[in-house]
Amino acid sequence: MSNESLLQLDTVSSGYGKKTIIREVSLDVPAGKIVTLLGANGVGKTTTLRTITGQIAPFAGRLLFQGRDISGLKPHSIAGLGVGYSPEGRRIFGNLTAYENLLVVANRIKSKKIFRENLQWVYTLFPRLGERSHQLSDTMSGGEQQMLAIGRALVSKPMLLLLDEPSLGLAPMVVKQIAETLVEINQAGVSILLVEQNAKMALQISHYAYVMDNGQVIQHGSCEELLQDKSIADIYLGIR
Amino acid sequence: MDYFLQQLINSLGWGSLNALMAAGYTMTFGIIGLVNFAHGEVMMVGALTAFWVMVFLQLPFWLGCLAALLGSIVVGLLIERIAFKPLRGAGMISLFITSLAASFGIRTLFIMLFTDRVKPFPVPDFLKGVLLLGNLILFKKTILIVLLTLFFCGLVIYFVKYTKTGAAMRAMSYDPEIAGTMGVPTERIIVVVFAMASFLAGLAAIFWGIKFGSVRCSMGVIMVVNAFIASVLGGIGNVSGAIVAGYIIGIGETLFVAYLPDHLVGLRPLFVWIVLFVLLIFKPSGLFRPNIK
Ligand SMILES: Nc1ncnc2c1ncn2[C@@H]1O[C@H](COP(=O)(O)OP(=O)(O)OP(=O)(O)O)[C@@H](O)[C@H]1O
Ligand SMILES: [Mg+2]
Repeated sequence: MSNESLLQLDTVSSGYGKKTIIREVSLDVPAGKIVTLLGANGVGKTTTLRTITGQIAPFAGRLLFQGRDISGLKPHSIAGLGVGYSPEGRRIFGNLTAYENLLVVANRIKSKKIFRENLQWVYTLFPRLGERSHQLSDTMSGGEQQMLAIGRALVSKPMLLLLDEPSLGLAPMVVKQIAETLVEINQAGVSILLVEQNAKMALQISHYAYVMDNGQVIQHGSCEELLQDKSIADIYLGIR
Repeated sequence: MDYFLQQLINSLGWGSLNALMAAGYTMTFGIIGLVNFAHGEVMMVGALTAFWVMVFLQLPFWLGCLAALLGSIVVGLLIERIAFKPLRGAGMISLFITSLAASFGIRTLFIMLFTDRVKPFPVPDFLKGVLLLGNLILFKKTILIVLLTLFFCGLVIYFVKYTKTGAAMRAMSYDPEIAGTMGVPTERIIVVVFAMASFLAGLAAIFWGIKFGSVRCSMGVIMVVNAFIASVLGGIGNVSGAIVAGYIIGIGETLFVAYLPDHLVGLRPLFVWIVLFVLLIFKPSGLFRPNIK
């Protein structure tokens, strides 16, 4: 990859307590691209994202965002650099309305004007959120909640969007819709690191992919390359 | 009928005190899962500070009020820094124990140094006297306490409901970890919350002084029990709920005592426990929607 890289993980190890979960993971998200991280259940994909967002500190290795080492920074500082995050299981603030969920993010936006512009952008991407802005988010449907989780990650207009299984539990129609929106978001200049179980959807929209197993990156390449690698496609991606 | 109305009017001052304490209590309860016994001592230190400023230093009433607010804010933030911050993420039980220790420690220290004798709280003349409304008597001080309480509670409700900081506070009550990843400076928000809660406790301290004309080192004990029960009644972390619940408890307690036979008025503290008991049986999550998961 010749492009300038936005996020770089350099032999990062991390885990919970003393237990190492991911070992010497290196990966690269070039500016302007969509990169996918694939792998079976429990291999450490979420742990990788939680390390990038600063929820857990890496044991070893370096995390570079725009060339700057971000390991050890607090989550809100990392977010402030331009990292948007849509966590596994959505984790929206169920006690707040859809609009208030987005307003929380205004705490790291310089001016009200910029926040309003970004809000309009999010409502354009997900018109449903605009219609339902004053609904208690707990009472929204699964698909709407997922849109809200992505919208909340985007309302700061981040440079990098981290998505942890946005298709989980959603009907194929909604998955397709979300995939299309992700491409639109990427075309607006947001780089994306996507973690997915739905390898088919992920590989359709990504430029590059990494495959993890047992806490390590075991393969990476362009999506076409990975799909041609029969053993990978069979064992890890569950598609032929 | 007149007796009932008169008791109702009298109860509004005590209701206001409870509302102010419950509002602050529920904010800190929601945001870091803290059952804060020391909130009563935050109020007490404010009241004692006002007493020193007005009685020892002979400074005017308004300076005493300012001192009460400052005293409460300073001690509230100090307790947060020393007792709670080191335990961030340690869970409810550890916080429960440290807050008990902080409460007990501060109260005991103050009683040792200054005794638990009642101390005069000078009230200016414009707050003395009554207005007559037919057969009913309205104390001027009660009118002031109620109006100011409603005003400040209104401000706090507006802040929590409509500002981005308020939204961040509620988000943190629900899911502090994710709030951080959304760019919320969680530690700064906690400081803001403790400052606000302590400010309200300082107001309550002033109103206690005005209402009873005296303060003492053990005054926080009853207040904190009522505030705790009001914050459960109002839905944990729900500020407007706590304010309504504070009034319900304050008014209810006064009426309860008003209708008790004279030789049973010692049963006054029983009222809130009955409220809690009934609540836990019929609606453990409170009357209003809690702000926590
Ligand atoms: N908080 C935690 N404490 C201890 N171990 C954890 C914790 N969270 C996850 N793990 C362990 O870390 C390993 C990797 O988990 P992780 O959530 O990163 O997997 P994943 O690749 O995201 O899986 P899935 O596709 O099921 O979401 C698992 O074995 C899991 O049990
Ligand atoms: Mg996962």
